[in-house]
Amino acid sequence: MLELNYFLVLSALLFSIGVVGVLVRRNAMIIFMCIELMLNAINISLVAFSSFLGNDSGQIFVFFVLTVAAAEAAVGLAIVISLFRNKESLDIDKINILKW
Amino acid sequence: MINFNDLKEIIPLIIIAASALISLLIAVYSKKSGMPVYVFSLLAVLAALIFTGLNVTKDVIIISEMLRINPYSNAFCMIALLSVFITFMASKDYLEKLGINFGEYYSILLFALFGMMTMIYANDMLTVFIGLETMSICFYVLTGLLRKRMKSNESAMKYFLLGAFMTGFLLYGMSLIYGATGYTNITKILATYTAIRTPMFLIGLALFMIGFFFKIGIFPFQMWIPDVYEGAPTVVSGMMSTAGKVAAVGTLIPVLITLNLVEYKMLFSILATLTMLYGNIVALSQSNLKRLLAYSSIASAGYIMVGITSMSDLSIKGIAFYLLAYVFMQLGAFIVVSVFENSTPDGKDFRNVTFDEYKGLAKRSPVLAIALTVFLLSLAGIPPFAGFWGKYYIFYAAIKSDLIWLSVIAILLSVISVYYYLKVIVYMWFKEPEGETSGEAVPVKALSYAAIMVSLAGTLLFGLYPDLFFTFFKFLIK
Repeated sequence: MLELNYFLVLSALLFSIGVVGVLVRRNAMIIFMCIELMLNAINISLVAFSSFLGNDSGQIFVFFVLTVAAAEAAVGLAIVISLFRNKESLDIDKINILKW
Repeated sequence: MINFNDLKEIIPLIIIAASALISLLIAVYSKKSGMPVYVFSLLAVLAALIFTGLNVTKDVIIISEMLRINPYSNAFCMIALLSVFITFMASKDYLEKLGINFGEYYSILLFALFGMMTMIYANDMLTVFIGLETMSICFYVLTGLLRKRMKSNESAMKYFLLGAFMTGFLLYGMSLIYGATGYTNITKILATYTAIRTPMFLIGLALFMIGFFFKIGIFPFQMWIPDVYEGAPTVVSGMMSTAGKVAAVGTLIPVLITLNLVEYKMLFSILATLTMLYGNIVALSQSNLKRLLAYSSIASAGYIMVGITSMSDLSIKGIAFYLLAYVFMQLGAFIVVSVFENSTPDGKDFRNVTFDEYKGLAKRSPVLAIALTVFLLSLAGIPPFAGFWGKYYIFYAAIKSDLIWLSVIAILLSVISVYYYLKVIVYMWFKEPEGETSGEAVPVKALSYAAIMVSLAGTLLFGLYPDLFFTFFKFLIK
């Protein structure tokens, strides 16, 4: 059987890829996808902990994380669409009328 | 197993959840007039407020230890309910003028309120997460409600991306805490905390707190606040800056007080100082009243952080009082701004929010000017208004727990804040009105008027009789 650490390292790596993606990419959709990647990395760590601790609550947590991510996606895409209708661009560097 | 006796303990939660669903149906069947859904949601919030008030002394842990109902969480819930109640009162006129008075607004705001209450009552990380996300997702929608306006779109987009990003950190923190302790239940985690202080747990806790600091607006996670509050519909900004903060603070404080992280006091003090500095200094250069109030909300987060740093029963008392005062004064100020904003024809963007347009408001509409003056003076912490006592109790608690230097900095910075609040007051009272609408009185509808009067009454009542609050929540005095 594999050690817990392998799963944790995988989840930490995926999480970091997500974080770097959010910070580096400039397209709102890609940023949104990177956030989803972060959430799924967390799901891996929750399931791994749950399995190694022999305790179900982590797996139950994952169901709720998935549900919330779906709700967030619905709202997020709606916001992206309404922004695109006004601006015809999803480049977050161009979203800059609000400052200081 | 569900114990049906538990359900009677959460009647306020059930009322809010049910009325959020019912108000959607009412909105469908009364498309022409916004009145039925408006009255219904006001009554629902009032009913929940009364039920919570009647059972304020309950102290139970229910539903498989998922929720913890105690006087403390009840107090914070009541403050959040009060804030949403006043927001509802002022919403209808404002939204009608902008042509967005949809029934869904009331429903979404009730769902957000449900999230806040779940979060405050939560005794399990799962419940905290669900409550927080219910609240945040509703806030994203409410921010972007004016979907034809660029500013509203932009602020919703920024809020959504940053909010979801920080949720990731919060959740990762929860996952690490779960891994380190084996529990998601907060009571059990706190019980094991003294036993395990592993690096994994501490990293998890730090990430968890980052998530909450983002919601409260503690430096360096405050950058979203001005942009979001400027772009959101004004009544929604007022609600987010008061009720949202009450919910996040009410969830975080019991955890932090029980953990008693004395060795990190220095870190907390530095965060508090930087938050107050940022809020107060940047506010000096603002010329837009909505942004000014947003920066003042960051400064208030700093004062609350001073209370969190002192970590005593006395400081909880201070924070609760400050938040109550804050609901009246900050929300009141936002409502006055929303009323004045509505006095011009609806343009492409927000009108009447810069200082120049506030010139001579006292001549045009003395009542609005007096109300805004009281709210701003109260925010600046000038007696005899409620804001003064809020700051007084927080700083007193800080001095009691040997944080004298922090209190001195806080008091000095709140003296600086008087400058930018007085600037608005000078524009209103001592400058001549300008522009095409200069001579006209500002029309105020009856309901907005009532909302302003309630906030004004609260600011004055708790300013003149601060003991009222403590008599009602006797438990807070030890």
